[in-house]
Amino acid sequence: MTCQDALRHGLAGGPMPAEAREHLRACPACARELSELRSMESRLAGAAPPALLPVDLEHRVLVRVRPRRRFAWAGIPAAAALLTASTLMTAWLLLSSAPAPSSYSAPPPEVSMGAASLSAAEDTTANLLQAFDPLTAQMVEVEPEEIQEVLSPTEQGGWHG
Amino acid sequence: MPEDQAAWVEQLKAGDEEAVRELVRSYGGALVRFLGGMTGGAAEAEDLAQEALIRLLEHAGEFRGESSLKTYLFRIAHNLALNYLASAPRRHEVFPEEMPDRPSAAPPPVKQVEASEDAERLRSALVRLPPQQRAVVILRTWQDLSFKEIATALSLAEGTAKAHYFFALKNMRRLMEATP
Repeated sequence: MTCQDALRHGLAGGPMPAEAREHLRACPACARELSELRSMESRLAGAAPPALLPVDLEHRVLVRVRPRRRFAWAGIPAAAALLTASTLMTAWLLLSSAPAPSSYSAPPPEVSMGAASLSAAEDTTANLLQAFDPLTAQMVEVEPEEIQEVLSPTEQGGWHG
Repeated sequence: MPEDQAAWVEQLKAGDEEAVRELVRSYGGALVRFLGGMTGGAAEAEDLAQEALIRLLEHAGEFRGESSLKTYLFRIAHNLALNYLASAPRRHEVFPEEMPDRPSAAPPPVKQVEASEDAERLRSALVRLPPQQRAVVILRTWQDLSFKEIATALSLAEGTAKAHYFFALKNMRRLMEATP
């Protein structure tokens, strides 16, 4: 057994192997070294600062841990509500943009004074669109290229068409 | 500290607030002391102790119970300390002595001053040790961990932990002799 091994056994605490004990008994240099190292060991133990718990550590840990847990649980109904809302919105958009079936009769165009409203339904036979004429208070048929003019008021405040 | 560690760990996994408080109260002070010795700074020690406790709570689900909660916590703290030491410039700040019970008006007795000065010199020398040796010495002499526990906490073989301890004490002696 080397000096170093004997010293390591001597510092490890607990029962020492017989070989190490014998070495330390026979080697005065190792015995002295072990005594000095043990002295250092106890000085170090005495130099330990008190294990004081910082007053706010408990609070600091709880503050960091709490919100995430609360958020995790609170997030589930919020995510479910968001998913439901987005599903309903998508369904509504799909239904409202879908072409009307052949048996479906389009409602009459909505009209209001001072504004023109066009029928969304295209007249495939005459390629004409309907517009409200405020002068005659009747629906009139117009060519598609006239739509812009019909929709735009003139500088005099009147309407083309 | 709860006697039934397995039940305690289950409570921690479930986020039981009282179990968390108990964890901080049981190990907070020891962690701050260990990290103070490792980093040499009180503020850093508190921040890292907080981080270690939070990491343990975040990873409580991974705790298999193969080691004690204490050694698991010291392992986290040790890794945090090594990361900190790798990123921060080398410090020689002395871990401040906290003596809340000492009256400020009356001067302390001579023997107490000498002991206090010696303790300060020892702690100054301690932060100059290589980090692994420092960790082993602190866990052994300040936390009274066995070499088996130290080996688990630092992911070392038990023989390696003993070797680190031996060289750490030799280095401490040399450093103390070199410091007037």
